[in-house]
Amino acid sequence: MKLKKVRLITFGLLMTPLFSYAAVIHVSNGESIQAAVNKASSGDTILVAPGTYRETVYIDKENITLQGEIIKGKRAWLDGGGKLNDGILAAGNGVSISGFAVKGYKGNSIMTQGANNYRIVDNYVQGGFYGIFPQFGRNGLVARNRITGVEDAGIYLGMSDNVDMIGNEAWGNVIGIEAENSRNVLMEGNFIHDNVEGIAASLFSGLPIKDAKNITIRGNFVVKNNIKNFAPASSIASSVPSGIGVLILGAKNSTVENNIISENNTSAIVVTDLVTFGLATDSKVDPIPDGVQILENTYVNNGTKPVAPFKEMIHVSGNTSADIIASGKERTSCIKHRTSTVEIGTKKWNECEIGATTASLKTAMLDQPYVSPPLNIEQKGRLTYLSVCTGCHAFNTQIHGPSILSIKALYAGDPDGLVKYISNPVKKRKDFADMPKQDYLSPEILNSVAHYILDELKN
Amino acid sequence: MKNTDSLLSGSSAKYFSLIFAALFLVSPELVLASVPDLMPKDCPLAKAPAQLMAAYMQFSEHKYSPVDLTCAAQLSFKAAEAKPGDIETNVAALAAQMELLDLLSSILDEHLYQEGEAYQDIKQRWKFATANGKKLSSRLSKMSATDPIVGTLLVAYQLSATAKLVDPQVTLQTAHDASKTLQEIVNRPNTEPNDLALLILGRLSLSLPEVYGGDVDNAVTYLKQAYSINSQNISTLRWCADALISANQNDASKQFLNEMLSLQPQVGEAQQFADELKAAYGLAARIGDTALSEKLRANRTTLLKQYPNLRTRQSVAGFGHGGPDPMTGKDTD
Repeated sequence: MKLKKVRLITFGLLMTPLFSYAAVIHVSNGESIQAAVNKASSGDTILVAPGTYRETVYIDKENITLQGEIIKGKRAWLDGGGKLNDGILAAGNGVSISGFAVKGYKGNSIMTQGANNYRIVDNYVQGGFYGIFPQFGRNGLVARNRITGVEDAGIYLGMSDNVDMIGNEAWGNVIGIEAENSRNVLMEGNFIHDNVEGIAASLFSGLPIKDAKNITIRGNFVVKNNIKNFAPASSIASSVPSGIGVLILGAKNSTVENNIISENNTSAIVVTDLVTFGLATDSKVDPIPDGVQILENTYVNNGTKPVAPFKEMIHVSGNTSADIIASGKERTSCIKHRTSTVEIGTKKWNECEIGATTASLKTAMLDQPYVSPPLNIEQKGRLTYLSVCTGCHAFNTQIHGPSILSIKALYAGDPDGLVKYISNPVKKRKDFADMPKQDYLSPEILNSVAHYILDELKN
Repeated sequence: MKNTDSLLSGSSAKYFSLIFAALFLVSPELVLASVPDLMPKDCPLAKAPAQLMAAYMQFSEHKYSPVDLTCAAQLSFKAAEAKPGDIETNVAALAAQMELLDLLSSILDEHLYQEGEAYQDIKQRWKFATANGKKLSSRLSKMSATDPIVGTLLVAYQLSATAKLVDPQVTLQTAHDASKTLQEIVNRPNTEPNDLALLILGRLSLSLPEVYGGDVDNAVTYLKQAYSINSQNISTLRWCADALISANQNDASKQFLNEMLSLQPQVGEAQQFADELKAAYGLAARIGDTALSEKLRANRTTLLKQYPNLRTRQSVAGFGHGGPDPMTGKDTD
């Protein structure tokens, strides 16, 4: 009996790995980053040497570290050449993207979709429709990135929870940094300057997440956000007025503390609901940003050249400028040191309680990684449709490419035909721009996208 | 003014919103030159003046169709041009332009991003309706601006015509001016109760910023007054509930949401009902009354099955936003 027990124990020990092995895959200039991702297993690190890489990189594996090596100040550049839509797309939990320079993409430069526990750190992004765009994720860090020239938000956090946006610099964008329909977000220590608008905490209708709350905007430099709006006319961002330092649009329990907000021509801080801006089209969404706290901030020379409609609002109020403009519907909101600020629309606001501060908030991230199963293939297909396809295709109208309705008609019952086309498009009509190849997507993803379009999509 | 009253009460599903957009100039000559392209092929534009209004009534029932409402707008406009001194015909024509504008506004609200051929089509129809509306407004102002019903319609038209596709300052200023005009109308001595004016006034009080006189409590007061005059208007019920929820009176809002369950649409009201029921079930969900929300949703579902041409107002995806929830595949509303 004793011998048998010994044998069993030994067998058990042999079966137990003593350590787990994560590979490091090197990518040299001229090689394909996507090829390395395809080779990688969950937990691997992909080190990309300085050079220029003209591709889209799609990551849908778990815990991949994609790191651009910075050698003597030189980085790995991802260059879309003005032709490719997306730079880096990630749908795997635990992804880390750092050290890259990304430019020349028409859509998303760095995007995560449905990825939790992500890190996007120390990247440089230039141009694109969205700069850094984490969406549908929890527990993320977006830190020490530099973003410029983006036609919407430089960092656009969408429908995400528990995210720190720390120490980034954003300039020359339409919106510097934005948290949209997101909860528990800390925007701290960012240098946001020379955008159309500085920082936004926003809530929009018509999205799956119906609220935005607990946004802390603290210790940022928000300076001279007065440039002319250059967003495409079709974009909702084209309606963003120039000259606002911090905008709270519908987001509840937002706190603005210890920021230096200076030389923003319209106003330092604007707080408004969705109804005033005609954005309250979904009645499940509570349009009023209750619980706003404007604590101690430093305001220098804001509101000296306000634009419409704020210019007229200031005039009607009898003031010549305003540090804080509110629509006036907010409940349970407060301002600290009211006598030292010029306010409009805040008659129902109170003085904040003595001692009100966000000092105890160290991070908005979770103590432990968020535990979630990997995305299934159907979710990946839908997320890919949303992040990649809707940049050029709308459901029932033609934009850059034909409508989804016409694609459904053309490829009805033929998902393989649609996959074949998406992988290697051929120009069929003169009135459409060339469609970039989507062959960086795996056959499984392409198949899932095709089935989603042909079998499920109704709007 | 019996016909006018019924027209106005039927057209009280108005979506006034203040939004930023580019400034569009209305060029009536250019717009009218392209009018045939905007019409359905069976739009009977060649009918004799005496028959135009009957034809208009037929097309005006299709409140879900921008094409049919464009036809209705043009038929009524032609009828008004043939009878420039007839107040009722001109009022009906102005209401028709407004209904088209309101439908176009609501279609724009379905999309976060405005691009493509569908958007260009909306812009064309918008120009068309505002060109007609400008002429009709001017005529009615001269004929009968002191009549409270006509005065209310003129204000309502201005709000519809500046809700979208104009400079945001114009939208805000129009709403501010409208609020003052309507307050004067409802406070006139010895005039008949005007629930439409009170409904619009209530909505403006809800939407205007404080500096322009916006006030949630005033909104509740106006809307309750509208309800006391006409408790059968589904839009009044919806907005009463909405205002009460904004005023943190969630329990009080439930009465109005419940009353919406017992109303049935008249001819041409199905789209309005479908839209207000959608808003209502969202409001009920927001205040945590799941059972009520489900009842309102069920009523709407029945209506949509009964009238399959109605617009369902589902969010459409664009540039990585909107559309069905990609995590579940289900619609977001």
